[in-house]
Amino acid sequence: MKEPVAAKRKLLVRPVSAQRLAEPAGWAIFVLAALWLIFLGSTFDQYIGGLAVIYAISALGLDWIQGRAGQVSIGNAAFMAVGAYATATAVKWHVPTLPALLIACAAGAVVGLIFGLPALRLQHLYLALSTLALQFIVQSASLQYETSTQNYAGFSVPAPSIGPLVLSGRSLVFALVIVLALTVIVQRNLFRRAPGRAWMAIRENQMAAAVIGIDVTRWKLSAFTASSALISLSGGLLAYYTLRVFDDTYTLAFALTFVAMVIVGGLGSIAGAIIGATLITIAPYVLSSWTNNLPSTVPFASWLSSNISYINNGLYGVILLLFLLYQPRGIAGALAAGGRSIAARLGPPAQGSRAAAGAQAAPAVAADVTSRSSVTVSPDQTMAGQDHPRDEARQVLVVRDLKLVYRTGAQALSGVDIEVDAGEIVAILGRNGAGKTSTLRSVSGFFRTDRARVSGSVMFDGREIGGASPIATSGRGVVLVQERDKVFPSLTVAEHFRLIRCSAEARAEAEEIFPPLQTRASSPAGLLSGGERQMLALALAWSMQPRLLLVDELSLGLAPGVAKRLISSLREYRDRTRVPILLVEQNVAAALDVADRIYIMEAGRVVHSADAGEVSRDTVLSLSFGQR
Amino acid sequence: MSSSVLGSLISNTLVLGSMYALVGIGFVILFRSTGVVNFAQGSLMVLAAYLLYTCADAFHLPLWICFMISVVAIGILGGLFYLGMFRRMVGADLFVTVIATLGLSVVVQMITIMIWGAQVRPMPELPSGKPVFSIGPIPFTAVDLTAIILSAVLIVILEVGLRRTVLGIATRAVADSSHLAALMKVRVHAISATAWAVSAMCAGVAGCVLSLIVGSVDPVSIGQLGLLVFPVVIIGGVDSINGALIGGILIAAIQNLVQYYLGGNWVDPIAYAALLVMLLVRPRGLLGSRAVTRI
Amino acid sequence: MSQAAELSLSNVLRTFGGIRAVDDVSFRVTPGETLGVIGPNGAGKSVLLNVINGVYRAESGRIELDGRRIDQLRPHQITGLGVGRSFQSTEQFRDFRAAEYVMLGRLSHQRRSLFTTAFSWPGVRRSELDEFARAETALDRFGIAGLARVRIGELPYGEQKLVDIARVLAAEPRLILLDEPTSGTTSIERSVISSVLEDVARADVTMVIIDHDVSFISAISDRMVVMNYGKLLAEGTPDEVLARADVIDAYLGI
Repeated sequence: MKEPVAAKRKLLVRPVSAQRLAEPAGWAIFVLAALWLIFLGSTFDQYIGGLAVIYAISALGLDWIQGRAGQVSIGNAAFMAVGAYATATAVKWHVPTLPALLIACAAGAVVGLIFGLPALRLQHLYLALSTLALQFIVQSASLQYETSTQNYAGFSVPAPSIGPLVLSGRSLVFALVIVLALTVIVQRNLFRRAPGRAWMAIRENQMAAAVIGIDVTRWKLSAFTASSALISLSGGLLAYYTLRVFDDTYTLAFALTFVAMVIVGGLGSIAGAIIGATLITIAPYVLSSWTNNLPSTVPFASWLSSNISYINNGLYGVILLLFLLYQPRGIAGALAAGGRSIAARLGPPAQGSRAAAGAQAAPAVAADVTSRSSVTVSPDQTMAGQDHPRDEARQVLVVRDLKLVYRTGAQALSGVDIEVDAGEIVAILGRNGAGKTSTLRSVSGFFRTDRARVSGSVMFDGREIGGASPIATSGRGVVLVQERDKVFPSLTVAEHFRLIRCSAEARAEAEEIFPPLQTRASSPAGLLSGGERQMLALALAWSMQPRLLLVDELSLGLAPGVAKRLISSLREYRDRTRVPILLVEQNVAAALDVADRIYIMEAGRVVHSADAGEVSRDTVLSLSFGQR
Repeated sequence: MSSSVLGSLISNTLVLGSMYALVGIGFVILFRSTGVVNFAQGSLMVLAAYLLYTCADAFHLPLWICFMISVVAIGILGGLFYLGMFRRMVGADLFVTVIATLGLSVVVQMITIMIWGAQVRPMPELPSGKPVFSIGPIPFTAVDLTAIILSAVLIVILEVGLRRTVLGIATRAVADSSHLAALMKVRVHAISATAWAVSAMCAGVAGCVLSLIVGSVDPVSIGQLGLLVFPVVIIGGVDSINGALIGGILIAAIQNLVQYYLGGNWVDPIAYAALLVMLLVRPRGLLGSRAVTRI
Repeated sequence: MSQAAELSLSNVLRTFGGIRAVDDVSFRVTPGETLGVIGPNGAGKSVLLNVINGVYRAESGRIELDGRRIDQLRPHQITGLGVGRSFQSTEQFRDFRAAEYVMLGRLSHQRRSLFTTAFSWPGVRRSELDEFARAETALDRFGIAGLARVRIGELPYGEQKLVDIARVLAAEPRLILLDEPTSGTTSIERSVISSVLEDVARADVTMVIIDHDVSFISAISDRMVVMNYGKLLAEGTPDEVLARADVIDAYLGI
C-alpha cells in the first residue's frame, strides 16, 4: 500500500523538461487565441474562427480513429451530415439545443457502430472503403430525405439557445470554444490512460496487440463509435452555426479536407488536429485576400484572381500533398522533433548516454562471451589467413572488420573478418543469433538503410563494394540465395527462367542436374516442395553466372536426404565452374562434408577458423549445444 | 418489363460493365505490382475525357485519333506520377499511399477545372446514337460496339501480356516480392512506372468511352463513376483480374436493374451497399486471395 | 499470485502449405513446472508457441488449460485466461515508453468503461498512478526501473527484451510462454533474465521456454522437449535429453 504514495512523491519531484512545458504552453496559446477571437476579432474573423473551431472538433474526431487507432477513414462528411440532419429533425420536433446535440451524438454513434462492423476484423484499409460506401449512402439518403419532406433547399435551423439565452455572434463563438476545450480535455484523459495505450498498440500491430491481451475488435469499434459521435456532434454544431442543413455541403471533397487537416497538423496529436484545422480553414481566405490585393503589374495576377475560387477548392489537396512528400509528420510532428533536439542539447543527457553506454558496453561484453564460449581459441590461430598464407591475387572476397549496428544500438556484427579464395567453398557455422546471416546479407549490400549502419571493408575481386546496394552487387556477380523469399510463388518454374533471360542451354543443364525442374516446369513455385524450391533458387542463381555465390541456410526445413543432395550439388557446381561459394549453414555435418574451410561465429564475430578436415567432433558438439 | 427495355438494359450492362471491368483491371494490376490502392483513377478518367474533348473541339482531329492521343497522354501522366511522387513512397505504409492518392485526385480535379471550367461541355462530332447492330432485342450503337470490342481486346492483351511476355512476368515477380525481383536484376522502378501507366490508360479508355456515351464531359459525373471501381474490385477480389471482370458486369447489372425499378437516386448507394455486404460476408471477394484480408 | 496453470497438448497438428510445422505433438506441463523447448531452426518451435497462444489455429488435436479447451479461442481470450507471451522483437512498439508498454500487459485487468476514464471519474487518477508504480516495480525486478520513461525504440535490443519480459510478468500470468528470451542479449542481460526467471519458476507459475542457448535453458528447465521437423523427438530431464544420440544427431543434421 505504500507503493502508490511513494510513486506520487516521485512524480512531484520530476525535473522540468522541455516536454513538460509544451502542454501548458499549448493551453496558453489556445486561450490567448480564443480571447483574441472573441473580443478583438472582426465579425468576419469571428465567422471564420467559429468555422475553424467546428472543423477542429471534427478533425479531432478523425484523428482519434486515424491518428490514434491507425485506421484510414473518409467518413467525416457523412457523419457530420448524420449529426446535422439529426439536429434539424430534432429541431422540427421542438427539441431544445443541448438535447438535440446529444441526439446528434447518439445518431453518429449508432451509424458508426453499423458501418464499423464490416471492416473491423480486416486490415486497416477496409475501413476506408467502408466509409467511402457510407459517404455515398448518406449522400443519397440525405437527398431522399429532403425530397420526401419537400425541403428541396435543405432544412433551416434556428439559432441555438441555452435556456433563455440565444447564442449568436460572439456568444456563439464563445460557446464553441468551450465545446472544443471540453473535447480536448476528454480526449486527453482517454489518450493518456489505458484506452490510449490500447489504441496505440492496435495502430502499431493488431496481432501483437491481441496477443498482449487487447480485444482488438472491441477497441477498434469503441474508437470508431466514439469518434463518430464526436464528428456528428460537430455536424450538429455546424447546423446551428450556419442555420441551415443542405446535402450539398457534405460531399466527399468535404470529407477529404479533414483528412488534409489531420495530416497537415500531424497524426496522433491533439494540438496538431487543431492547428491543421485552423490552417486549412483559413488558407483559402488568406490566399483570396492576398491575390485580390496584388498589384496588376505582377505577372499572372489577373489569371490568379479569376481562378482563385478554383484554386481554393483544391488548395487543401495541394497542401496535403506537399506535406505528405516533405513533412509527413505534420506541423505537430515537426515541432515535437524540434523540441526534442533542443531538449537533448540543453537537458540532462539521460537517454542519450544510456544508449551510448549500452553500445559501448557491447564490445566489452562480447569479449566476455567469447572467453566464456565453448570453443577455445588457441593462441596461434588468432586470425584466419595467418596460419595459411594465401596468394593475395587469388582472394575473391575479403571482408575486414565488418560491423553492423542497428539504430537501437544493438550490435549484430562486431568486426567480422572473412576471406574466400578462388574456387573455394567456405562455410560459416555457429548458433542462432551469432550473426551468420547478417554477415552474408551485409556483404550482399543489405542493411544500408536508416535503421542500421554497416562499416568496414568488403572487397570483391580487388574492388570495394562496401557501399553498394543489393542490386548493384548482383550486377557485379555477387549472387545471393536468400533464406526466405527465394522464389516467386505465383510464377511458374518456366517463367522464372524466362524472367532472368536464361539461355536454353543453361536451362537444360539445370534440368539435368535437378530433374524436378523439368517435370514441374509449369507449376507455380508456390506449390513446389521445399526441396524443389531450393533447387529452383539454386538453378536461377547459377544461371545468373555469378562470380561469387552466397547461400543462406540451404538446408532449412528440408528433409535430411534432400538437404544432403542439394548441398553436394553445390560442390558439383563448384567443381564444374570453379565459382567460389560462401555458405551459411546450420547443418554442421553437411557443411563440413562440402566445405574446404569453415569459420565459426559467435555473438557477432568470428571466433574460430579451420580447414574443414581439422574440425573435431567435440568442437562440433559444443558448437551445437554450448557450454554445459 | 418489355423485351425492348430488357434489351437495352442488357446492352447497357455490357457496355458499362466492360468499362468498369477495364478500370477494375487497371486497379488490380497497379495494386498487385506496387501495393498502391489508387483512389485517383476517377480524376484521371475525367482528365482523359477532357483531353479527348479538346483534341476534337480545338484541333478538329478525327475522334479515333483524339482517343488514342488522350489515352497515350494519360498513360504517360500515370508513369510520371510514379516517377515524380510514388517512387519516393516505396515502402511507406498503405495508409500513406492511400491518402496520397486521395490528395492527388483532389489536385488533378482542381487543375482540370482550372483549365476547362466547371460547365458541361458537349462532345463534338458524336457518332449517331442510333443502334447499328442488334442481337435480337439487344441494340448496340456504334459507340457501344466500340466500347465492348475495345475493352475485350484490351483485356485480352493485358491478360496475355501478363502471362506470356517477359514484361508481364517481371510485373508479376515484382508483385510477389520487389526485393527478390531486384536481386534478380529486374528493374523494379521501370516495372512500377509501367504498371502506373497501364492503370492510367485503362482509366483513360474508360473515361473517353463514357464521355462519348453520355455525350458530354463535366468535372463531376465521370469521376463519380471512377470511384465505383471499389465495389467492383471488392466484389471481384482486390487482387484478381478475372474478379474485376465479373465484378464489373455484376455492378453494372445491379445498377441498371436498380435504375429501372427504383430510379436514379439509388444507383450509387446500392452499389456501395453491395460492397459492404461483401465485406461482411466474404471479405476477399469472389475470386480474391485470402492473404489480402489477413490482419 | 494466482494458481499456476496446467497445460496439455494432444495430437496437435498445424500445416503451412503442405509442410507439417507442428506434427502430432502431445505433451503435458504440470502446474508450476518449467518446460524447455529446443530444436534446430525451422523445427516448428515458434509455430508451436503461436498455436498455444491462438495466433494460429490448430488444425486438429486439443490444447487444454486447466482442463479447459483453448484451441479454438482467439488470442486475447487465451491471454485473458492467464497466459502471458513474450515476443522475439519489440520493434513494433518502439514509440511506447517502457512503463507504458509494461502497463499494456495489465490492460485486461483494468475494467473501466471509456466513459469513466473520459470524465476522470473518482478513482481513475489513483488507479493510473497505481498501475504506473506497478510497472516501475516490474521493471525494477530487472534493474531497469530508471528506464520507465524512455521510449523503447531508444533502448538497446537486450533492454527491449527485458522490458518485454517485464510486461509479461506484470500481468501476473499463470502460464508464461517465452520465445527465445535470450537471443540477441549480452551475457549480463542473460544472467539478469536467468535469475529473474529462476525466481519466477520457484514461485507458482508454469513456464514454457523456447531458446537456443542450451546451457541457459537446461539450467532453468525442470523438463525439456526436443522438436525436429515439427515432431517431438525426445522428452525428459535436461540431462536425459541432451545425452541422447538422436538429439545430438538432430542438431548435427546427420
